Amino acid sequence: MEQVAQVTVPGRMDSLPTLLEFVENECGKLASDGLITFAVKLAVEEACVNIIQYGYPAGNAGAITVTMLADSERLKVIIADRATPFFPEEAPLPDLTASWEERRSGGLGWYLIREMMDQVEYEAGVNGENRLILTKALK
Amino acid sequence: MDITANDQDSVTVVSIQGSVDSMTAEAFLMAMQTYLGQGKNRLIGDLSGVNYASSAGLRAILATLKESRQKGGDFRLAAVQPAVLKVLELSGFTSILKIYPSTDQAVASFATEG
Repeated sequence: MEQVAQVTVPGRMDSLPTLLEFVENECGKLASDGLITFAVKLAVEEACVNIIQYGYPAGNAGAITVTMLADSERLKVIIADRATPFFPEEAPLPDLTASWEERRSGGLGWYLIREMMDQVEYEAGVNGENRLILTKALK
Repeated sequence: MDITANDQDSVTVVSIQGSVDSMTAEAFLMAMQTYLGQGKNRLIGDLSGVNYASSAGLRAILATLKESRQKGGDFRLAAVQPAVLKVLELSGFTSILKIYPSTDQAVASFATEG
């Protein structure tokens, strides 16, 4: 699998337009189906918002690096940060069947990442770096 | 994201253009709360121009739905694009929200309720 593109931004909300535009452009070149680009963009947004809002302390944001790799069949997106590690398996699952009065929207971000991607791997705090590795088939 | 509102009978059709995501959800929610504050609690979100929505957008949609129903109205969606509809389905929102193929049908759904 070959690296096709990489971008590093400060872990702040105002970096999101740059990140999402990067994903849309690079993924759009690799995937013919717009739904694939939609899914990858969504997963990257959800993951980066989690890092920015929960991982990095306010006013002391570190970097987020997004690397895209691909071969003819699959796309891999690696999101690297140096924030407080987060354990996705501990994220609460949203209750998708509650009535509208009882419905809560917490946990939807991680749930959508898992649903939209074919494979989700997380490496916490390896030499101070966390890596979320998202894989999506291109066909 | 651009938002324009248009009153039709006792229903307010809110047309949204662009993305409803973590960068725009707050502006979306503020606009909806402005309409609700004006007593416009029968709202339709025309999503024909929305090509992207993330969980932040869903949170704003849920907040609008709750507030409109608590005020005796409703927030219904119309003309939802396939990718956005998939996100709504995956998130279980299609079981709590009323969704119509067109804004005309959504407006008519309120009319039949009197």
